Amino acid sequence: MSAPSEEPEEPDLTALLDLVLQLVMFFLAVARIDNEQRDQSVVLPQASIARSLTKDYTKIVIVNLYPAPPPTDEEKQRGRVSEVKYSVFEGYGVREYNAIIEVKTNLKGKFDADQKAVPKADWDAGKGRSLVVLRAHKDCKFEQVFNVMTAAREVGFTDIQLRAYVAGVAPR
Amino acid sequence: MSRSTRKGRHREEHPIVARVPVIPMLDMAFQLLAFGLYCFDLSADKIEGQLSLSLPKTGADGPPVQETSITEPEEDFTIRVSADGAGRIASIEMTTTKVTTPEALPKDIVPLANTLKERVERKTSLKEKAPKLEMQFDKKLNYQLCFELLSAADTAKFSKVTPNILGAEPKKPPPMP
Repeated sequence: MSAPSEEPEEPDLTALLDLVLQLVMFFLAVARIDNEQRDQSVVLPQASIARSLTKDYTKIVIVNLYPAPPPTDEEKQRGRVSEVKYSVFEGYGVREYNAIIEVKTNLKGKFDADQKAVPKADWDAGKGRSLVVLRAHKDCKFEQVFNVMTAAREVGFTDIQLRAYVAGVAPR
Repeated sequence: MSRSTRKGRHREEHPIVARVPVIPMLDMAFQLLAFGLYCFDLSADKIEGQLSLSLPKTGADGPPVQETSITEPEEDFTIRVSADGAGRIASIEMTTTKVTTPEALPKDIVPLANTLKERVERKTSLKEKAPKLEMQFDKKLNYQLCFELLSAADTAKFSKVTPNILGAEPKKPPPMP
């Protein structure tokens, strides 16, 4: 008859530790994705009085507007020099544009897709529309911002949400 | 038998097993996880604020809706902001649908917000509906200033705030055949 072991039984925690580290990596990666959805080229205006964000919408289209970087030699040769650049976030993808007409085409596609996705009665009651969120760089001129507003209105959107940094909270 | 010899034999019978202290490491990993979740919250909710506006009407909107009621039309406000060559505010003027003589408004944001708030409160205290406001900005005006002016108007609680470009009249729909 063998004597009982004096060594205490301990659970194998190595697998659990691996899992925890995987979780850490996962959350760091997710936080990075969320950060990438906001275009870092856009420095929003600082608003001394701005309302905090609400979640009273289900679908949003984020349009970023920022001054274009200095044109490359190739762009100069082609004559494709624009003062501003646009990027539109849709789901997990982003598309960059140089001209407002391209942004308008994108918004038109989004508006039509929204219209097809909801019953006509709901659509007529104003439901199912995406909210257009405009994140414009603080150094833009109003005319450039207004061009995006006009494009959204001509497509069929009636409301828009502008974004700014809340005063006292430094952007990362 | 000497004492040291007895101790050596004891070691041979029960060899020392080296163990990695996993449990404190696990505790620390959980602490790191909590720290990461707390500090790396990069969602826009905390650093960004919002300003909801109505888009200006365009020619694509069709003919205006005819008012069928016989009540007196509401007094709506229009603010015109002109800019200098550098994109700064040159002047701010306000008219209403009843008072067409332009009234100069303060250029600073806080006095402007207070003035607008007082105007809206004057209307609502008479049990009238909060007026609508159209803000017309010079196309050269810096967007930072535009946003501050719009947020000042937002705090005044107008029923609707619509940005527009200075001097732009709403496009008239094409005449009906």
